[in-house]
Amino acid sequence: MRIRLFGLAASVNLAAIAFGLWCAFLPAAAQAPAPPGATPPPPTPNMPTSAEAQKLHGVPPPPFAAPADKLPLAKLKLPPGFKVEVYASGVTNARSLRIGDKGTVFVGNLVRDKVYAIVDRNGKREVKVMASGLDRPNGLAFKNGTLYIAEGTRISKLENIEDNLDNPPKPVVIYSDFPNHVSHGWKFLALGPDDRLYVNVGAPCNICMPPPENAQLRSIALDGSDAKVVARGIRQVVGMDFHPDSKVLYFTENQRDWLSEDAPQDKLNRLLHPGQDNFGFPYCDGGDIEDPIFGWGHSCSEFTKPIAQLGPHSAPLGMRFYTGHMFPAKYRGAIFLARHGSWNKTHKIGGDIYVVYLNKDGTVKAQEPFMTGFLQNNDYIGRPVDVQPMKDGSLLVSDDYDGAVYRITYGEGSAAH
Amino acid sequence: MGCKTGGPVVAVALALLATTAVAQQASPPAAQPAPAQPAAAAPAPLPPGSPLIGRPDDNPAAMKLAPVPSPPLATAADKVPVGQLKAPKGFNIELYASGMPNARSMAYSPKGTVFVGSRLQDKVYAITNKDGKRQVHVLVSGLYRPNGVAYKDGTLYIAELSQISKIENVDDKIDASPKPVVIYNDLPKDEAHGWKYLAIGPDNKLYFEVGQPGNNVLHDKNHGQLRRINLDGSGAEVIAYGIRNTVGFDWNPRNHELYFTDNGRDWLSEDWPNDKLNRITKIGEDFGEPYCHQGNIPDIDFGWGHKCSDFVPPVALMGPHAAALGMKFYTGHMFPAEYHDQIFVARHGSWNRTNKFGGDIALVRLNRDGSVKSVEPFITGFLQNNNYIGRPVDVMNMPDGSMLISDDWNGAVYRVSYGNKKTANR
Repeated sequence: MRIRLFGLAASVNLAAIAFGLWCAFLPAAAQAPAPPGATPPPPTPNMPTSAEAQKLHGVPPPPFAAPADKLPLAKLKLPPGFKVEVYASGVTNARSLRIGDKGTVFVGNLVRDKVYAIVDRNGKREVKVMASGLDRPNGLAFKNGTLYIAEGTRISKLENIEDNLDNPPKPVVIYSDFPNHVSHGWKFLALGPDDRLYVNVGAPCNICMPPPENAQLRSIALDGSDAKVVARGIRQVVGMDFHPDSKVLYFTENQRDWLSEDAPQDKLNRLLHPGQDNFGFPYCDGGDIEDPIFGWGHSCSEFTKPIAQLGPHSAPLGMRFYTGHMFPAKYRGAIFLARHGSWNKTHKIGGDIYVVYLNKDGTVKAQEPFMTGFLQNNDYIGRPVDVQPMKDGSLLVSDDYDGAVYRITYGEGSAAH
Repeated sequence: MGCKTGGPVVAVALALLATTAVAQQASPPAAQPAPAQPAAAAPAPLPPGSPLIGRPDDNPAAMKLAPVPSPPLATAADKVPVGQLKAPKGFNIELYASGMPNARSMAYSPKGTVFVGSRLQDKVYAITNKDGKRQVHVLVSGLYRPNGVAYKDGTLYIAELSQISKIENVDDKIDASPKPVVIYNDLPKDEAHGWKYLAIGPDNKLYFEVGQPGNNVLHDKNHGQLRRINLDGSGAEVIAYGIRNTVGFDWNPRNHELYFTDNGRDWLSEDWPNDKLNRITKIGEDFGEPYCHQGNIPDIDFGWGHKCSDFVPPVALMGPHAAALGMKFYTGHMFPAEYHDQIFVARHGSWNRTNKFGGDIALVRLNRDGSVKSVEPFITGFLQNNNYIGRPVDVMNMPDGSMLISDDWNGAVYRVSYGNKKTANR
C-alpha cells in the first residue's frame, strides 16, 4: 500500500475513528489500542473526585493526519537562524524516528498499526508502509541494514529493508518475552554502543506496585537472545540515547499522574551502574517526592536521582544527543528532547523541543526550550514525539497529533533541497 | 532552688492513662456535621477529623505511623531530660518548672507569674515566682482544651476549643479558683485543629485561629482562618484565610507585621509538604490551604484547577511534618546581638514520617526587609534515636532576656539563658 505525500492517510477505517472517540474519555496512559489479552489499566487509587480534576483527560490525536497545507508550520518558533520545514505529512500518528544507512527515515506508530518509511528519491519524498497489522509499533532501531521494531509484546526485524522498500518482507519476531498490558505497554527501542537492543518495559498502571518483570529497562542481543535487566524502578521510558563520548545511557522518564497539578516532575536519568541502578518507581516520584501510597518507609535518597527535572507532566519522550555540525557549536553534545506536553494539568506545559546542555562530566548544565509553538492558548496544534539528527546535521521532529515530520535546519540555504 | 509540684496536678493526670493517638481526637461535646473527606479507606469508620483518615491501609510502613501520644503523667523533676538538650556555645538550659501535665502555650504577668495552658488536660497552670521560690499552681480546672493563654493589664485570657474567656485581676486569684468569664464563643466545635493559640496584638486585640476541621478537607467560611476580636469579645473579624492550623504567631517588633506558623497536611508524602512560616502584609490574604501546600504544590485532592500563584507563599519552609508551633521574636538583650529581633520557633516534631523530624527550637534569621535569611536548629535533643524524650510547644521572652520553652511531653518548662550561668531566681 502506498500513501501519497500531502494526501489523506490511507486505510482509515471506522474502527480507527471509533478508537479515537474512545480515547477521548481515557487518560493518556491508556491512549493505545487494547490488544487481545492485554491487562487493562488498573483503576487509579484515590483518584481525585473534584470537578476540576474531572475536566482533565488524555488528549487524543485526531483520527486523520493533517494535510500538508494545514500543518501549523508558521506557529513553530525557533532561535534566530533556525528554520523549520515540513519533511513529510500524512504519516498518521508519527512516533519514533530512525534513519537507515541509506538515508531512509523510518517512523513508528502508537495508536495505529503501521511502520512507515519516508523515502527520498532525488529530492522527491514519498511515504510508504513498511509493515502493518502491528500492535503499537512505537519503537524502532536500525543496524547493518536491519530495521528492528518493538511492538507491545515483541521485537521483530526487517532485514535488508532499504533494498526492499517497494516490497518489504514480513517482520520476523526475535523476542517476545514481554508482559501484555495496556498502560505503558508501548516501547522505545535503541541500539547500544555494545550492539545490543535497549528496550523499556513500562509500569502497567499510573501508580502501582509493578510485577517483577515490569518497570525496567532491558538489553537484548540482536538475535533476541541474552536478555538482561539493566535498570529498575522506572515508570515509563519513551526516549533514550547514549552519550557520544562516555557511551552512558541517558533516558527520559514520565512520572505519575494525579499527584498534583505541579508535581511530580518528569525526569532525565542516566544509567551509570547498569544492572544496579534503581530509579525509584513506585516509591519516589520525580526524584524528590516519596509517593503518597507507596513511599511510606522509603526515602528518595535510596534511589538513583535524576540528573534533571523536565517539568511536571510535561511528557518528555524521544531524545538524542546532537553530534552534527550544521547547528552552532553550543549545541554539539547537547541533548534534544521532545516534550509531548501535559494532559494531567489544567494549564498545559510542554509541547516543545527542549535542549539540555551538559557539563564535561555528563551532568546537566542548563536546559531551555528550543522549538515551541505546538501549544497555543492551552490547546495543542501539534505534539512532538521524537527527534532524529540527519547526516547533514539537520534535525527531524515527529508529531503524532498532526501525523507529520518536520526538519529543522540552521543557516543560509538550509532548505532541504 | 528546685520547683515544687502543685499537689492536685498529679491526680488528674491519671485520667489520661487511656489516652491514645486516636483518643486525642475524641468526639467534641457537640460535633459539627462531618466534613467531606477524601478517600477514607479504612474498614472501620474513623471519627470525623481523625488524623488517620487518608492513611494508605495496605502499606505496612504507613500503618506504623500515627500521632505520638504524650505520657499521661508529667515527668518528675529529677527525671526531666534537661541534660540531653543541646544549645549553642554560651547558652545554658535549666529546668524552670515541672509537674504540669501537657504544658502548652505560655503567657507572662509582670508580677512574675507564668501562665501555662494545656490541650489534653482541662487546666491552666500558674508558675509563681516569689523571692526566687517557684511554685506550680492549678489556676483553673474543668476547661476544654485550654491551649491558648494571653495576658494584658492584669487580665488573663484563655482560649478553649470553642470559647474565649477572661479572668480579671488574675494575679490576685492564683489560689482562689477563679471562674473565667466567657467573652466570645462564636466558634465551631470541631476537635480536629479545634484547639487555639491566643496572642494580643500591637493593636490590643486578641488574635486566634480557627483551624481546618480535618487533615485535608474543604470547609465552610468559618474555618481555616485567623480572627481577631476586641478585648471585650466584640468586633470579631477575619484577617487571613487558607490556614490549615497555626499554633503560634507573633508580631515583628520592627514593623508590627504578623508572622505565623502553619502546619502542613499529613499523608501526602514522607518529605512533603513542608510546614510554613507565613507573614501577613495586608488583611484578608489567602495562604492557600487546602488547595496549595508550601507555596508550590497544588493538593492531590483539591489542588486541581488551582495555581499556587493565586495564594500568598510562605516566607520560610519549616520542614516536612515538623509541627512548627509556638514562635516569638526575640526582643531581649541577654542573648548576643545576632539574635535580636530574630524568630525562635518550637518544632514539636513529626509523627507522619518514618524518620522523625523536628523536636527542637529553630532559629529563623530575617533580612532587614522581613524576608527569611535562614532556618537552623537552635536547641536540639528532644528527639533521640527517632524517639521523643520531650517535645517543645511554645517559647516566651522573659523580662531578663532569658527564654522559656514549654514541653508537653514532660509537662515541664525550661529556661534558656546566655553567659555565666545565672539562676532563674533573681
